[in-house]
Amino acid sequence: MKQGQSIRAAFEPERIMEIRKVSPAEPLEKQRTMSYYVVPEGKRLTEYEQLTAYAQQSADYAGGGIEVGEYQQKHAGGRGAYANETTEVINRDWFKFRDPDRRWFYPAVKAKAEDGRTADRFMKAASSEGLVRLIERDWIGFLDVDFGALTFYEYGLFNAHSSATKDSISDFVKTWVALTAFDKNDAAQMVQTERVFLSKQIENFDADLVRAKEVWTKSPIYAGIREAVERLWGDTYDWGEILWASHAIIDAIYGQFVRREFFQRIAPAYGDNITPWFLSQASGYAQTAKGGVRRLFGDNLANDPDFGLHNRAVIRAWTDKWLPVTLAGLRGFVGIYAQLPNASEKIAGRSVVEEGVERVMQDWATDFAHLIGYEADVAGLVAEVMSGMDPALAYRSDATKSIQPIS
Amino acid sequence: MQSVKPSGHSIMENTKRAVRAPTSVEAQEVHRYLMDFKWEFEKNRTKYGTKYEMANLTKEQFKLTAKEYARMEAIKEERQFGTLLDGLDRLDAANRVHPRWAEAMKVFANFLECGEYNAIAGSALLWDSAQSPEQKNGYLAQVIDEIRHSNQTAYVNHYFSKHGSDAAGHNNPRQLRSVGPAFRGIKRAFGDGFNAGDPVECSINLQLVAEACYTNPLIVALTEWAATNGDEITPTVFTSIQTDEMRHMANGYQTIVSVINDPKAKLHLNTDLNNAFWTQTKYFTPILGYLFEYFSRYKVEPWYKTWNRWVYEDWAGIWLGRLAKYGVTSPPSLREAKQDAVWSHHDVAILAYALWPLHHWRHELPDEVDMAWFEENYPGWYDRYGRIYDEWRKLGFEDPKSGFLPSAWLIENGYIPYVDHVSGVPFCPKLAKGACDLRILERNGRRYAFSDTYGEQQFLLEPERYEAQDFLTQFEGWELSEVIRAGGGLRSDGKTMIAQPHLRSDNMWTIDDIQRIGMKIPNPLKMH
Repeated sequence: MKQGQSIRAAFEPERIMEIRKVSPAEPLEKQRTMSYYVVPEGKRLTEYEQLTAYAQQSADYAGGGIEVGEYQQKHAGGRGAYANETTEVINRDWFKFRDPDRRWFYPAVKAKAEDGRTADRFMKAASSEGLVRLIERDWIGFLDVDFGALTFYEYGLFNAHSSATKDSISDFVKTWVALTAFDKNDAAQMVQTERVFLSKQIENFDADLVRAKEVWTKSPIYAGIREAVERLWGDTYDWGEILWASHAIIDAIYGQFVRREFFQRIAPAYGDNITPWFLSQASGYAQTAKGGVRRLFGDNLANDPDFGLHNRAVIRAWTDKWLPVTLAGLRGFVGIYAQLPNASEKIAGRSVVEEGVERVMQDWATDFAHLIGYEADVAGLVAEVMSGMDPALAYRSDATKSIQPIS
Repeated sequence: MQSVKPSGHSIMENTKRAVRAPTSVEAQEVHRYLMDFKWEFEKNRTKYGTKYEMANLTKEQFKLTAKEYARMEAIKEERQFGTLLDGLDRLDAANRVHPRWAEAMKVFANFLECGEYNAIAGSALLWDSAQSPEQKNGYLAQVIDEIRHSNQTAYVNHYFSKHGSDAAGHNNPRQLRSVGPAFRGIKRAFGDGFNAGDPVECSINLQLVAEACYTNPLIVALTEWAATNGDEITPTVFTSIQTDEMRHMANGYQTIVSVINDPKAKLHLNTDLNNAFWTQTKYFTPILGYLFEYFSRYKVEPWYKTWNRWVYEDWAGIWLGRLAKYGVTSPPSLREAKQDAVWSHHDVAILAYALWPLHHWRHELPDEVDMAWFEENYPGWYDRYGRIYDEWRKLGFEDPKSGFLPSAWLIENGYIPYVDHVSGVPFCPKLAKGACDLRILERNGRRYAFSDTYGEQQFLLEPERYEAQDFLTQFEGWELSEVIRAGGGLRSDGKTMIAQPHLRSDNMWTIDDIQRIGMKIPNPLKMH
């Protein structure tokens, strides 16, 4: 017999009979639930829990694991693959975390594939009805440059997740981190998808990112948030800090404001109903991430029976570190309102913007600051951001220097 | 043309074209901009450094966006789970598998899951280290793929637990893996080897050797062995896994492409390749051959032929041949590996039988049909191994009342087993027909055994990377039944063992039978 020539027993009656003859008449084991020894989060062990729990083999010092002994091979210098020292927070049981959305591979890609099909249908429908015709020309520049800059923001946060995916200490956490990173990558790509979509319908709208990158890297509007993203991506090693700063501070404040309060709110005023639709997916992903962050940093870390106090102190220290840079980023960004052409008070007036900032900061305080007992002076934070709208501080994009209006 | 008020941004003539034609955006139309997603900044450094320099402009071959990836993978998942849960369920497929092979899947699925899970972190390590956005994108897709494969391999155990005739061992594989001696090697080769080291070294282990070389016998050849033994479940899952592996092999190829212009690459690459090949082959050559040949009633072909086809001809010949233009050469350890492909799985098999109470599968001794096949394909097999199996059978190997433990017999007869410290693979110098050269080193008051110079060299260069205790040292002095209990080795009645030395439903060993013997785990390193 050679490879490729063997008989498939399922189609060979003689072999079927031989196998039947040696098979037990009755099942030998009654316990048919895989991973039956895992403590379920709810009443019954879910398929997500069965497939995920303890898939990771770690050294026995990884809190909550079931392994016995050391890693068989370690990094040069002697650190293990999933090591406690990769984060300042401590968990009695890292394996207790559960993604509130119970995502394992199949449900996760199924949902994203549905999002993709929905986007495809939306683009076909929107182009069929000529939705771009409603977009005012004054807004097109924002879609070229500022919306393009959002690509870099999302892409930078996505890349900050690489070491977090590597380092995170349990299977449940790692799966969640990787899928959350995947969403961030998707969010960056979906911004570019819209820009390509627009380029197919609007004369002279080029989907390239040259000018967007110029503004992202040079304009004071984005200097603050760009520095925050760069620090997180290139200069932050603690994976817990990366996740907390990404989702509980930077994206919860800056990302929410830019997506919801700026683009989703302002775009329709310029006849753009396409951008709010595209951003609804990224906003949805941010809410999914919020659920996981609250579960991990709240239920599992801030309320850890042994290390809760320590963890709260660490997470508050991270908040002290990342809140000011995020606020600086948003303070810079609100300078953009001064550049909105023909903008009415209703969309760009100081009080309206302030309401938006307040919504975001209040949400942040409710969703995250309270979780770790962080004293948040919402009014003070709002005022700090709003100082970016003061005429003396209003930023202008450097990009204007290289751009000649068509006349 | 109308002038536009300064907005601070590009102002374009937004003449609408044929705006009412339905249009959408293809993945490739977005992917072509991916290289522009990156910007340069001062502190843009990798957290996991490599001694190589990964190029900025390296491209990926599969060019997927997140949405396109999800579309493609969701279809594969729908097909796979549809087949498993609709088609195969109705055919009662789990109970049409030869019981011997169903036991093999307790091991295979669990082994592979180790690799797939640890490859999540390994791919993330590369995503962190790569400079090029396209290369990062390729590694990210692999991160997500590996979650898929980890779930899929777990699902094989899940499926057999729910539908098969012996759920024990399928229903708690990870618990058993945490202690079991059979898993130390896989944790090194398919675990830490993928994610604990220089990122390029990990890529060579994961993508260039494990995936480009060993997934072919492990995943492709295995499906044929499975199907010929009545298992249609495993091929349904494993062939679906293999559809992603091509992307991972391409990632490995691109890793080499990305570093090859770095002059330092010439200094390190072939050494890293040899270490990676040795790491993978030291475990997989014996283990795969053992599982294929000793757990099948119906055999496909001798393992060394499969090994020659996939490892020697396909991988070392064709795949490495493609990389020859970059200065990549065949690993020097390939020659020894080729010799090992004939005998090393038999060497491991006899030790696996000897340690049967510590496993989580039922395993009967080779019968006359097996023995004839082994002797025909491996002349001299009976004299070395077969006669021992026959003797064990006479001494009551299968009988729970016999008080016979083959591991005790080995020691009594001077066949001392050791564990190779770096690979985690057990070996017995007196029994081995494969390459085996016992070496014992002492360092800081601890003794370490090695079965060849390749592992010994890795240890001598970086001993701090190999600090784990081997199984025999770790459990030295434990009474055997204590280890079995600690590893979750009992069935749900609380006394019958999961592991059995036969496949019958009667006369099953209980923990009391083991306890009555009172064997204590010896540490052979103290016998010197």
